[in-house]
Amino acid sequence: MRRLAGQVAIVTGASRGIGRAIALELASWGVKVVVNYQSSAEKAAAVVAEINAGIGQGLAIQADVTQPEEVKRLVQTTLDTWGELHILVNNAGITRDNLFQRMKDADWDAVIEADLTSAFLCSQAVLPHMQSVRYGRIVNIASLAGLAGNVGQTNYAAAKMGLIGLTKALAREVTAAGIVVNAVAPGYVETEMIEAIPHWLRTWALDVIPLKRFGTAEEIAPAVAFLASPAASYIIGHVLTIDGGWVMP
Amino acid sequence: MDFSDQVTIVTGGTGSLGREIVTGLIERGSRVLFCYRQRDETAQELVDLLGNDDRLVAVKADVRDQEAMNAMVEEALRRWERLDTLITAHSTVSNAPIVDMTLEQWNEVLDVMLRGVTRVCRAALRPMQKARYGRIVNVVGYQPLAGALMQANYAAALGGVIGFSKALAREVAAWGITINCVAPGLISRPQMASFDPSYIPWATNIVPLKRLGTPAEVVPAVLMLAERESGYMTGQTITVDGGWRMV
Repeated sequence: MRRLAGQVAIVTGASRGIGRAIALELASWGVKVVVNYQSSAEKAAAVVAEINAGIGQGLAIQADVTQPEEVKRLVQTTLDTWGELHILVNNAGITRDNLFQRMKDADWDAVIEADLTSAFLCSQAVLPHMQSVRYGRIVNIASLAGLAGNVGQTNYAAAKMGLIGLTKALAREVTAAGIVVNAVAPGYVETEMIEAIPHWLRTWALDVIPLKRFGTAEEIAPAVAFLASPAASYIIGHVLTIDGGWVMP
Repeated sequence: MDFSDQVTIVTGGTGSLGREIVTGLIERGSRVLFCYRQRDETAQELVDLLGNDDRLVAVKADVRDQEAMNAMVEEALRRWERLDTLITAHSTVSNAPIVDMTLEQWNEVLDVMLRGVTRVCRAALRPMQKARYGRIVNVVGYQPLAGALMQANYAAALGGVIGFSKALAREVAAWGITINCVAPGLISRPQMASFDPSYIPWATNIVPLKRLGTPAEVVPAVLMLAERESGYMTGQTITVDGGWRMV
């Protein structure tokens, strides 16, 4: 399975949850992985330690991906360290749930910046290198909340559907330069992020999902690695949903 | 489609599509308050052309200003004591290849196109919830569905509007409020005069109908979603694109 041996990836927000699983999956495919994190230094170090203990090579880099200068440093440090960069996974994201009419402006802005603007900034930062070598893979982690909406998540749904719009616009611009851009839209996945959802919503969700369970991060990561591989060369601007049959969009 | 006795607010009423939407609503009996940002003359011309019986009011108001949006809704309620429908049709672009796009360009388009919609929705929802009835139609575009060159900000912002509309549709469905989007495809607009001359032949060729759409051809889908009878359709995006993509 080490079919991506020698490649280099940045996974944003990779200290936990789906990002962590993506970092481990890419490492198992032979990729040298930058485990980006904002504040969870210990968890990022644990992911890197797990990668370095026999799977492959990992490197933790702290950066707030909503800040242009920090994003530039993240990409430059990666290139300085490994000299190459093939894959960017825009996974970093947060939630600040509330009903729309109670939502504070700050909670709207924080989610748009962390989940959408971050992907714009990171993509912009990796493009000069990817264009110069005429190869690249960008995978954006969207959400079923964007495709199908979700109560209490107008900000998150806007950010994630916005990310799908960005995916397609970016795909049109850079495909000719050998850069493939796609998105993965997970449904409910067992992570810290959804431990916060109310009990009634959990019960409802488990009822409407045909598989009658939430997904695991490990069930998302292989699809991301596939879209990050040369095998995905004719898949452009696609949104791959992984939702246990919940929405079947 | 009969909008007699109804009250509709339209944002971006002086735009090429906004004008057609306002005209369609007035022709079908609605009272209309539209807002615009810059074009005083166009707004006055539209009012002079259509509104001779206090059914049409133009308000100069910026969707970047929550207070202005609140005041606009208050104005409609003060005049007519109800608000049935909100149609967002305002637009701004700031195009650039993504590698050259500044964060200011990105944020500006998100602020007008995405936050602007949320601000006017926030203002309009309270009277709609009180009345336990409402129709919201957000005009988006093909960009978030099909991608577009030099419009990463626009595609992201309008994609955001689609996601927002779906989430909000779930939140307010219990009050009888529906929220849908219309995504026009390649529509003939005055600003196309400044485009590269190869654009119109290219666009004409890829559309099965072999022509660009007109703003007036987008209006029926908007009005259909705004109708009282369209009560079971919510969270949807209707594409009006001459068969370009058929997805």
